[in-house]
Amino acid sequence: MPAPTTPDLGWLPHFCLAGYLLFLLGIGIWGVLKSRSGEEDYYLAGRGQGWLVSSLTIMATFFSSAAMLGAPGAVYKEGVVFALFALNVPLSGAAIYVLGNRIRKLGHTHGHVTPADLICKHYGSSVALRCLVALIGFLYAVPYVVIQIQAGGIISERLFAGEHAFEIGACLLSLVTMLYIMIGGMRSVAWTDALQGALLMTGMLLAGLAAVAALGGPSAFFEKVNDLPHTSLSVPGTTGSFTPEKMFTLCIFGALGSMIQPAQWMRFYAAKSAKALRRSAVIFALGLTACFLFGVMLVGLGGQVLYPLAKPNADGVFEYQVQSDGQATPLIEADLAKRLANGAQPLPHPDVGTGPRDFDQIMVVVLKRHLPELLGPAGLLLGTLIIIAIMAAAMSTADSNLHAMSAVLTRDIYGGVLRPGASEKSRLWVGRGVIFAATVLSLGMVFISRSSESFDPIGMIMPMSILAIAFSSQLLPVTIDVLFLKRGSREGAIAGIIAGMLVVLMFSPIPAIITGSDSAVVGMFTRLKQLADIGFCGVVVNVTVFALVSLKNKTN
Amino acid sequence: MFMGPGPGLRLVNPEPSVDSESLRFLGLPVIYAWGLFWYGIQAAVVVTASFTLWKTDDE
Repeated sequence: MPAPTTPDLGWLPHFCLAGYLLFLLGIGIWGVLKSRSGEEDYYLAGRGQGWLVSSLTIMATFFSSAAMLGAPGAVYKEGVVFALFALNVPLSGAAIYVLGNRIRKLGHTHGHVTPADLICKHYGSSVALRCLVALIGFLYAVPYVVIQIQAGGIISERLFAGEHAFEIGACLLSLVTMLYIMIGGMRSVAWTDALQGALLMTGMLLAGLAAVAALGGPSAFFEKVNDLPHTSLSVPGTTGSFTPEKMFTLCIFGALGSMIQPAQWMRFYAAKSAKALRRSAVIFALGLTACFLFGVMLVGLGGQVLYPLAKPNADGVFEYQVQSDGQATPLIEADLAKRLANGAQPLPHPDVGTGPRDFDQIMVVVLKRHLPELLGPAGLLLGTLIIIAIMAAAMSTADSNLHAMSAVLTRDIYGGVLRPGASEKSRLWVGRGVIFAATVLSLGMVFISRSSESFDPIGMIMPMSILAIAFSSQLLPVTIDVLFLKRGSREGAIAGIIAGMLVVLMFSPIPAIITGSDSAVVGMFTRLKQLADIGFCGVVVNVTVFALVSLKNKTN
Repeated sequence: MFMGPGPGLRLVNPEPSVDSESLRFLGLPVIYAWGLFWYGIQAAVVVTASFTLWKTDDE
């Protein structure tokens, strides 16, 4: 199907985006006016969040730009198998109540602010444990903030013409986000998240509708989808990466690892009551999964029809374009898995992008090209609003992670280890300084990555975002022990976390740097990564070490 | 989780040799229809739990 030409959106995106950013700043100022002095109010909004704000802020924090760009991009690349990844969301929803309500209750009783406060109180004060929990929080938050800023730049580049559209977009996103967190704290973050969460859900569903409408309605849509290549409609997908076993572990640890990361943990503390979390859990599990399955995932499937990855050759066999040794070469469906295992990478349709990383562009391409064609000026407005919803997804994740990082570094490291006697006022100012420094650092990494061909931190950080969830999953054994079992020891918790983190590190690029990419160790972990989720592997070792050391302590 | 996105998928995953009719169920791709079915099950479990198991005495 020939792609329509990209229409000029004129000044519409400028007005919409300016109005949206001003509104966010207004909420930030409102947060200051409503705030009371003190750390508890700045980090937890006085522990008084109701169910509506709680559910929307938890959703907005859970879904980053990866949900709006990455998920449809993955379905566009892998086919329908990746749509099943949405089934991790109901498990996350259940975790909001099952884990979150116990965390909330302990937090309210003992005045906890960060995850380390609760964990260290249970096991007895320990500098090592506090530092480890803070390190996990830091390793989770940093890649996420960097990727959201990068997404803001990409959206700006797609919306506006101009040489420096990327830089202006990334700076604007960072500046506005940083300002409203610094001035309003959790109250501003939660209220902006509530707006962004509502915008995000609407945008996800509208995007799905747009994709279905672009192919002539639901019947025609699925009729055309059913004609896609076999690999797009079956497991393990186009690249052969998503086996059922890998999907299973990925869904479980993706769901739970994302729910016990510091920003979500602090949202549980901030909830007003069990009822607020119970309702949040139901809204999250039902609403967000529907947005995925009936929204953005359909964009990826429709994208495969509108911008095919493979075309039938003269013999009627589907032929893909893959990149191997920097060259694009055609490859038939039967040979695909073998060549991809040897390092070749599939390429998207040329109208979507030219490189193996351009699959994520499918959402913006479909919205920008097909909505105006279908709906005229109303389509232009709708397309612009959905693209702003993508920006909202980026900002809501960046703000939550920056805010949580500030709490973790200030309370756990500055106040807990470096200056235990520091006043609350000085800790608050250090927290604001952390937000400023982390924003500037993240922005710097985005710019360096863009301007330098030899140094590409984003290239390293993209796999790091998968590692980030694996790192936060290492809090799972101690969390279960603290909330339910109460059988572990402090030494066991420390040893388990260290062992789990070391296993996760073995899946990072570090072993390849030390031992060379051809070594047996790297080969073993690469094969293991194809079988199961990284977080799962880490947690298996973590639980084993935790249990053995705790048992030994008890015997002694 | 085991049945929806997990190993249970092997029960419905079409073999490479099957014709295109076997790739669909009620007009939908069979894997997508499988996902919708298990979404329904998960949603029912969460709603039931919220009305029964998750009623705590601090509410």
